[in-house]
Amino acid sequence: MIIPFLLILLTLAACGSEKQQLTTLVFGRGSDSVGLDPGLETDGESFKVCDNIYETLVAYHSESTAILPQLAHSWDVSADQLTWTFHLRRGVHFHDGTVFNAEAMLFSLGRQFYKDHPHHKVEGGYRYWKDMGMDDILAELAAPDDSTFVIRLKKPNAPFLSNLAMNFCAAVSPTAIKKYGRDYFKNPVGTGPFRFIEWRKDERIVLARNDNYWGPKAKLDRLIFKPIQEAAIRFLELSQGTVQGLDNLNPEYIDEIRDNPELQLLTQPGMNVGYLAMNMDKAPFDDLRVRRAINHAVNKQALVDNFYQGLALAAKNPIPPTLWGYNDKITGYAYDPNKARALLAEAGFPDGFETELWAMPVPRPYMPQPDKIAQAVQADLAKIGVRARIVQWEWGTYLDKVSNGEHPMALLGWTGDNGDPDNFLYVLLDKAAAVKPAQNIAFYKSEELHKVLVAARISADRDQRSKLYQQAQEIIFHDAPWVPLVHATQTAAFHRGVSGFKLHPTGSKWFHSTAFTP
Amino acid sequence: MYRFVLNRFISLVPTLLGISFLVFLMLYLVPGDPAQVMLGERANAESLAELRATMGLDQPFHVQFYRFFTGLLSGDLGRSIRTHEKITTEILQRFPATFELTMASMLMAMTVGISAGIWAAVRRGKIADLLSMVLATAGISMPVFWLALMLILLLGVFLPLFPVSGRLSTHIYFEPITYFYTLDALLQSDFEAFGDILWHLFLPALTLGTIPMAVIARMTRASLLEVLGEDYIRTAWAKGLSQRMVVLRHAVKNAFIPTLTVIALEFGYLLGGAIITETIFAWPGVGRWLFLAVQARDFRAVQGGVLLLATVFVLANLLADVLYAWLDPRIRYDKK
Repeated sequence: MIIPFLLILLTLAACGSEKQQLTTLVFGRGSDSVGLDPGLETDGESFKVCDNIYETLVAYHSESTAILPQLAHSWDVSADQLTWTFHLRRGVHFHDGTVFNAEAMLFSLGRQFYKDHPHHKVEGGYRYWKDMGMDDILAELAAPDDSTFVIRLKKPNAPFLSNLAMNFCAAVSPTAIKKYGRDYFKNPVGTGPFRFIEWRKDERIVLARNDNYWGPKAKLDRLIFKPIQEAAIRFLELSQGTVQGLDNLNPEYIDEIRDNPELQLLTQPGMNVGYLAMNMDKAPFDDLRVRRAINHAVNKQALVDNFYQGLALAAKNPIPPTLWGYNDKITGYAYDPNKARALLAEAGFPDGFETELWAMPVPRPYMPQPDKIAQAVQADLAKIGVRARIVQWEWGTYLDKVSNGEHPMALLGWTGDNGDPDNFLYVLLDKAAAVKPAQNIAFYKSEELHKVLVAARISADRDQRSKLYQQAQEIIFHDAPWVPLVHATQTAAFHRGVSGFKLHPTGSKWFHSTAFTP
Repeated sequence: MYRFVLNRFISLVPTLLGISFLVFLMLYLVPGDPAQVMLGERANAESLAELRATMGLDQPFHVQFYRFFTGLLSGDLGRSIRTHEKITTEILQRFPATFELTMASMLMAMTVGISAGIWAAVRRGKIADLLSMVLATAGISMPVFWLALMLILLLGVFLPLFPVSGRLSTHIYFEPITYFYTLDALLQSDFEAFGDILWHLFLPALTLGTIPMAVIARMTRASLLEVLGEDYIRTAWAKGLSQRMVVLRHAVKNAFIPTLTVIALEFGYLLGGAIITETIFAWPGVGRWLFLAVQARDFRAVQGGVLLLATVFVLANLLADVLYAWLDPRIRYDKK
């Protein structure tokens, strides 16, 4: 019974497998996008596609988080640093044929900013806009003429320019938003090098080259994003050539990719940090010697070797080394159980103490196996006499409880948004973030650090900011509110014939210069 | 007969009402704040309050249930919180994928399972019987994920005859109308696409069909053996009828009733979206979607999805009941 069926299938399939003429790159990934409205989305899988459809006023350098012109060819800042005037590129069109101008930019940002904007009300709100504090930064948006766009700020804010390079500040076609309304998220229209063709949920998103692009045109005819949930199948498809690129590789396949001459592996330290926060509102973690002892007790390199298969970097600072302002002079707390025991004895705990170590119940990009990390840290702490019980809660409850400071020690992490050190240091360690429900879950309240971070936020001078952030890292190193654990590496693999793709610290995936070289 | 069917249909209403209430209650009581889960590491007091308000989570239980229920009655399940999409659209796009896969696997399971069962019963105690029952036992006991991986290894890697993921090759384009791809391709007389779709359907359908196939084979064999021992069969033999007549005309129809129950139940289960098979073969069906919705605490999607699956399951059972009554008039209890 099965055999004739098989034969029919194979004949039919043989008719179907004609050579494809378009240069198409199929990029495999673990899950589908949530939506393609850059203002609404918060997940990486959505941004990966948006990166290629949309553009922003300013953009990141292809290999760093330095800021370059994009839809604005230049900009001026007033002396008081409150008025930013962007001079827009002319002759740019959206994929639907409408013209990109200052009015369109005003619409794109204005729908997120002005409460009375006709497109302001969306379920869940424009989350990234809020998360990046845009409402507190901006005072007014204006479009005095077609090619001039003005942003006025409430107070000077340097990281704001980096925010403008993020997906949520992309130019969206006002015509398309008015036309599709709540269904715009599946009918995206931008100005980028690729235009949207079709989306079959959980199956594929197809983009085609934008032949009317204002800059150098993309080299691929088609770009297809295909969700394949199983890591083994994803890898199999890559080896068979039905998929030509993958990201977020499972560590177990890394060696195989390295050994396969048909494949190429790309890696880069990711813009993230996984950390162990000690709740400074609770004894004994209010004692600096205890916090330092814990820092000396944890063997970070062993974590990297055992649970990341080497695809991570042991951390010494809260920010990853791919960010500007990283302080490489800081030595970090070396793994030294004897020193840790001595510090504990000095603090009055010669026999250690009992405590709890909280761990996330779900894998996170910066910590794929939090339960195993927790067990390893537990074992490390036991060696210095600290008997930590591992505590886990359901994910929502976990976040709720740690943000309210119910934990003595907790694992957590962060993935950077805009490539500015402020986005790590101020958000996670400033005293302003230690108000419940807090993101500063060490409840670390340093006046000295606050002053430095605020100064760095206001200054427009990048070198000066860089120095201030280096100083901030020294203060944090001294006070040791966390054990910074790891920076997980981001990975991608491509077929040998694929060229021109670069990993970016922000995790953005741009395919405009990607090509096949036979 | 019509009254019987009608009665069964009417009894569906309280069942489904009960299910919808239970589903709502369960999601209301499950620990973990959906807003907190959705915002993750980025949650702060303001964003939490705002998200709770837009999702209506700040309302008391009876208000939330009233909204859900009136929406349900007007056929509006709302929009998914995770994907911004209408739940009905999500389901209408994904259910056909699951349905197509289920149909294909049940087709395989029934043809192979029933034939093997009959064959084994007729040759009871012989090598053929032993062989098919050993295979059936193996089929039942094999974990689906293992079977899927073995089939992929065998027919996707060593002997690369079949694609290992998705419903369609990336170079095939056609306009989905009903989202039943086989049907859509035929409607547009696109035979290249049709072949491609069947070709993609084979491995997942075989994976999903193996367990029901084995169950059906064993059930058919057992009940056929029982029937073959009955007096009227002996009479049929005594009349000098051929083996073909005795088995296929006299025995199989009666032996089929228990098999039918199994088929209907398996059908219902499979339509629930076989999460493992769908995940391994990157099959864009309801099972996978529902799984992600549960993970993201997308309660509206879960409510809609579970309600749909419950309805499908109840309908499959209803169909089995009706078929029973048709096959065996004694079952129409309502008839005096």
